[in-house]
Parts: sequence; C-alpha cells; structure tokens
Amino acid sequence: MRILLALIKKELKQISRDPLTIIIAFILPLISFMIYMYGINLDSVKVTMGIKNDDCSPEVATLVKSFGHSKYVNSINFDNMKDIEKAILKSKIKGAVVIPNDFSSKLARGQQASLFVITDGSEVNTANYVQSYALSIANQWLATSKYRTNMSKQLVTTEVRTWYNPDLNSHHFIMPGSIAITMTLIGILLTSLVVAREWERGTMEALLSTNVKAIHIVLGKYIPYFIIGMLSLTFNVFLCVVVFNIPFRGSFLVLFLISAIFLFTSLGIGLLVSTVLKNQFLASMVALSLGFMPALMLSGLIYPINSMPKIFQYLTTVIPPRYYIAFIQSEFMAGGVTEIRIANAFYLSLLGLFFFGLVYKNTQMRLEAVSPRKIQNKGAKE
Amino acid sequence: MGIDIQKNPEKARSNLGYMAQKFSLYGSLTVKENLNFFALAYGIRAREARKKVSGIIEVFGLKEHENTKAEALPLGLKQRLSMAAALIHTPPVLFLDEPTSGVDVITRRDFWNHITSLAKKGVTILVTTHFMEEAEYCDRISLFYKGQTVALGTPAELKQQAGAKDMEGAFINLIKESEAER
Repeated sequence: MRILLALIKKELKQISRDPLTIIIAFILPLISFMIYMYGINLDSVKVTMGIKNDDCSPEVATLVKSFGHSKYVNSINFDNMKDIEKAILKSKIKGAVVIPNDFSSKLARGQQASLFVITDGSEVNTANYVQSYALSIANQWLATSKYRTNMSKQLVTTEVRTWYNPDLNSHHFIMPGSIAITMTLIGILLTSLVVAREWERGTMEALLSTNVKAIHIVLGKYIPYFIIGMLSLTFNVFLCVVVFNIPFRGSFLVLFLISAIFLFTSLGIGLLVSTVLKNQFLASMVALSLGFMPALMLSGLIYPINSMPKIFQYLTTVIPPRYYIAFIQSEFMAGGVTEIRIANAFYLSLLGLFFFGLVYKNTQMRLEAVSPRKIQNKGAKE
Repeated sequence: MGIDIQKNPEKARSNLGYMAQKFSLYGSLTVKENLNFFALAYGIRAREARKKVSGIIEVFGLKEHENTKAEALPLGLKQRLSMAAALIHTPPVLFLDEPTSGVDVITRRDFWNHITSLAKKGVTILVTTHFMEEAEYCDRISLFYKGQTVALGTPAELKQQAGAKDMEGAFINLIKESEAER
C-alpha cells in the first residue's frame, strides 16, 4: 500500500510537470468544443440569396417580401443578371431567384409558372438548401395569395414532433459525443506513452530493482490517470452544461459513474499498448490508429452504426466508445433510461476487466523475458 | 541471506542495491524527490525515509542540488545520485553496472572513495568495469570473456597467473590464453 501510494504520488508529480498532459486533458477539450460548437454545424443554416423581380404586378411584390421575411433566408434585391453573377463570384450570395415577367399572368391563367433558381454547385449542400428554400417559400406564398384557388389540395400532411431534441439542434448530440472523444484521448493516448517511457528512459530498470510488484506498477499507472481523466471529465461537463448551455436531462451521479467505467476501459487499452510495445512512438501511433480512429469513425458518433456494412457493425461491439457514446447521448438528451444505462455499463465493465487482465499479465518484472526454466536448463548444461 | 529469490523476489530484492549503467532515475523529479521515491519503493516507512534521504544527501554531497531536477544535473552528479538511490535502503549487497563509464577523472576517483568506504563498512559490492586500472582497486576479480569466467582471484593472483606487471597486461594475456585453449 505504501509502495503504491509512493508510485501514484510520483506519477502525479511527473504529470503536473509535463505540459503535454495538461494540454491533452484540459486545453484539447476546450478547442474541440469550440470547433464543434462554432465550426461544425450539421443544421440547416441561414443562406443569403439574391432576388431579381421582372414581374411588376403588386401580388408578386409580396412574394419578394416573403423571401425577406423568411427565417431561413437573407435576401438581397438585384436589378440585373451581371450584378447577380458578380455577387455569386464574390460569395456574397449563395444563389439567386429570378421571377420571370410572365409569372403572375401565367398564374392568373391557371398555368404552371416557373421561378428561375440559380445555385452554386461548388457548395453542393448549400445549393440544395437554396433550391428547397426557394420552392417552399414560393409554395407558402402561393397558399396565401389570390391564386390559391388554382392550387391542388394536399390530401395528406404530416404533423412532426421531434422527441429528445425538439429543435433538431445537432450540438445537443455532438457536444456530449465530444466528451466521449476527449475521454478516449485521455484514456488511450496519454497512457500509451507512460509505460513505454519508463522502459525507454531506463527508469523501469531502477524500479524493478526495488520492492515494487507487478500489481503496484499496474495500479500505479491506472490510478493517477484515472484521477486526471475524472478531473478532465468534470471540466468537460462543466463546459458543456454551464458554458455552452447544452441541456442535460439525466443524472450527474450516473454520468460520472459510467464515465468512470469507460475511463477504466480506455486506460486499459492505452496501458496495454504501452506495456506490450515499450516504445513511445510506436505505442502512440498504435494507440491513435487502434483507439482513436475507431472511436471517431466506428462509434456511431458521426456515422450511424445501423448504416454500416455488417462486418463493421460486428466490429463496433468491441469498441468501448460505442457503448459510452450511446450512453452519454441518451443521458444528455433523453434523461435516465435504465436499460441503456445498465446495458452499456455492463459491456464497458466487461471490456474494462478484460483489458486490465491483459495489462497485468503483460507487465514484465524482468529486463528480458527469460522463463525460470530456461535459466535452470542453462545451469544444467554447464 | 536465506531468502529464495524465486519464491519471494520482492523481499530478496530489498537486500540488493542496483545501479544501472544508463541513468535510470526520473528526470522531471528533483534529487530529493527521486531519493524519497526510491526509499518508499523499497518499502521504507515515510518518516524513516525522510531521515534516510537527508542523511544520504549529506553523505553524497548533494545538499546544494537537492531541489534541482535530475535531468538538469551534470553527468557526474547524476551518477552520484544514482548511487545514492541504489544505497538508500542500506543494502548489504550492491551491484554497480559500469558506474564510471563516461565520467570525468575527478568524479571517478570520488566514486571509488565511496565504494571503498562502503566496502570497509561491510557492504559487498559487485562492480562491472572496462577500466583495468579500476579493477585493481577490487578485492577479487572475475574476468569474463564471451560469457564465461576465464580467471578468478585477487588482482595480485591474476597478475601472477598471467605473468604481467599490471592488470592491463594481465587482462590481455589471460584473454589470449583462453582464446588459444578454444
């Protein structure tokens, strides 16, 4: 116990003097939150488009106005096509709508009238928005205009109620996911370096000549990084809930409890890589490609697991972040769902214990792996 | 010492001090922190450890560097610190793996003063070295060649056996002999 305490203290001192650890644990989540919050936006956005009205009937003027009033569109009026082209080139507008001069007369006659919509194909997503916004604004306008009598009636409509995330705000599920990514990084990347560092710098040699046992070495690595991870988690949750105002509907106690299990699991992966490879560079590369990339790609954070090929779906069952992301997103958005909590906590604990066992088994207590029997055989020969 | 190293390796190790050839203490910890850590790692109680640390800092003349980070020390002092760490638990047996390789002449002499004074106190010290003039200071020499002991004895005995004036000559002759025997 005394020895373990000394090891933990030593490790914490080393951590506190290593700027890299602090950066990964506290600065990195801040940066990634900023990116997810302000940089990445998966929601529909307000687009600026140009309007050129060639039809001077007063009824059509109200259509131009409804473009101006839409909460999805900023509209700028133009008089000629040259200016529109220039504005698109300068990216001032993302597209344009031209109302042809026979627009109102065609509608009045009950014929199909067309709007000329220009979109910028170099930004495909935005181009799609421009097209669909223009159409829906025109339809809405039509339903209230005097031409509505010519409109065919829609027989079926949908009443949409979005559960758990009524505003369809993607931040509400990306930000909790970002916590999971940070926790994976702390668990895997930081620890992938630490055992390898002891071997590389020769300090393991000195350590092995003391009374330290394998279990001391293993726990002496797990516990300090567990503390750092939990501190970082607290910081992350604070940023998420208090600073960025992401709604949290679950229980903080359960969040921290299951996060602790997840941390235990990813610490295991990092330490296993480090223990086996004994080389910092190699270990960090393997940790990134084995731990971090799957966490990003295969965890269901960005790409839904259901839409992956079957093989990858099976592969995700051994990726701890998959369970954690499922849990943390439901804890944030849906509140406490007992089945989700228990199932994910169960799989995470299973994986965590598995990795702990492997780390313990692979912790070497001698400089070169020579089994005692070999030494005896050698002695016998001489 | 009556401890089976296979059955109880940790206990057996607490009777040994070991100083690796390569500097193997924690660079980001200070001299004092390193010594304190190793004292505790050898299973010494915290209060006693503190006493031992300040004692050994005194003996090895590390007082003015006790709050310096180990990585910032010059090589000679690093070696001194390594030896202090290996001795923190006052082991009856001390292994020194080429303790003087890459160390300047003054530090090396300093080192041997420590070694001989320890030996006088009754500590058994095993030193590996490439320097034959250093081997001269030892009580008993085992000459290793290709993983086997080719000669064993006091410096005087080895010199006599090889018919050489100094250890350097004895070393060359003995190696040649064993080469011829093969």
